[in-house]
Amino acid sequence: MSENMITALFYGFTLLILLILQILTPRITRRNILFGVKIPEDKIETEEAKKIIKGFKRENLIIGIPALILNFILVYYIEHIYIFGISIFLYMGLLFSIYLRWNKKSKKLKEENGWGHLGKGVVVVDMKFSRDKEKIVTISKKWFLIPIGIIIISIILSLKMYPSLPDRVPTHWDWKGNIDGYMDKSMFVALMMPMTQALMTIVIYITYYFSMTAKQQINPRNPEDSLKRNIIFRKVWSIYLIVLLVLMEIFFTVLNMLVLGIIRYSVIIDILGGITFGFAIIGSVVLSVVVGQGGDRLKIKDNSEDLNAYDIDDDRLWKLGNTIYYNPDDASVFVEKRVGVGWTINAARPLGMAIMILPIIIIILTIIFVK
Amino acid sequence: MLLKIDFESETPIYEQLRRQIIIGIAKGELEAGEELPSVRQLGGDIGINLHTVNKTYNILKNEGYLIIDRRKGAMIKDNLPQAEEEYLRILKEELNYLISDSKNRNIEKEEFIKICSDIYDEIIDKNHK
Repeated sequence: MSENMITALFYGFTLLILLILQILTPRITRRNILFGVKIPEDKIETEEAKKIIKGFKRENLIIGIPALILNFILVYYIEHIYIFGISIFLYMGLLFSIYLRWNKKSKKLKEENGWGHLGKGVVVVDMKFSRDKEKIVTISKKWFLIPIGIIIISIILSLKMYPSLPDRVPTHWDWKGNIDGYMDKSMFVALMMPMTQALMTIVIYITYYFSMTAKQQINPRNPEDSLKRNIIFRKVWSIYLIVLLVLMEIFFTVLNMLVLGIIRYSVIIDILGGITFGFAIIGSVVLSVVVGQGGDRLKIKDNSEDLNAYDIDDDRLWKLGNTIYYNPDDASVFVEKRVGVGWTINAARPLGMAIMILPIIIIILTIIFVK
Repeated sequence: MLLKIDFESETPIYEQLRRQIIIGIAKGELEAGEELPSVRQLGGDIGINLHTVNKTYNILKNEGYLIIDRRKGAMIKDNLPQAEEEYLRILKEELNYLISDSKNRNIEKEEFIKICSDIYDEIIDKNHK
């Protein structure tokens, strides 16, 4: 296999994951959300709703697979780093436009059937959970000491090996394990890996913090069970995040040792990378499907059902195809995502807005500096 | 304790919150000395402005239900407020209106008293559990 083929395959695989996640969306979102539109929970079982979900899947396959193959060919023949980036963005845009189309259809379906006005909408909040969630919903912050310890080891290795580094430090390996990229010796190069490791820890810690502080969302039909689901959901994801972080830190420390010349390239490094990458992807997909958003797909027996209670209809607070939360009257910064699994921000809060704009600024700065 | 907030109700949210906390205390779902969530936490979870929660907490503090500690935040008072003259006056006034409204709607005196008695029993019952 040529280098081109490997790159193209890796790229195709990335797009395939995006497509799979898109098709899985209706299965992992809360049961009272149809493509971002809030509907009564039992209505998700109706023929009309099922037809919309089926249509969405079909359209993704019909448009998504040929587009994927086209992109794959493009990347294979035009070997350029920009093509790689641009076509990933285009593909994501394509998938999002498919989502938007079915979001519109769902809105229409809700309106035609009068699913917006069925009864009294209430918000249910557990006082104790509100007070104690930072203590009870996630695993302890102390677990972060493990990855931090690994980073410290990595930094010590870099500082210790710095004097004995060659003038040109190997920093890139091809897929066969041969060195094909060098950088001039400097403190920056020596500390490149530890800095990456620190950055990863910060990113994961922020996500962990989301899971800890995000707004509680309780189904008013069976508040107690809904609360249980919510706690399991947050706990499971915080454990996943810590395990993933530890795996990544170990892998990057090994890579650092490779750059510093402490160890030589061997297949074990590839295996370690494969395990980390595999855990990241397969783990998150499995958790999303089994647990669902907010623990909504967990198989727990629901006890008390108050069939007259409905979630409040807050569709108008979700902008851009119901994907961005904008509510100036809400004090929470972190909320559950409307579509898919995970958390997002309240863009109407200054901190939320800052978190949303930050990645865009980082991308722009990176492009300027790299040029 | 579970709070149920109705966003479409004519009763303002801070008042719904105040009433439910008082009911929670009566039923024993909120205990003496118990810490309440911070205004930020509760406001965020209900999805309302934190000033609304702050307003409720301040009213309850003035009524003698809460103490607001600088470090621990709002807590249920150990000794709850007593029925003083002022309170009895408000109680009679409220009941006057409620009884009149009920009478107009043909609710008999016995029926009204029975409703009152049942609700009272239910609260005591919950409290003993």
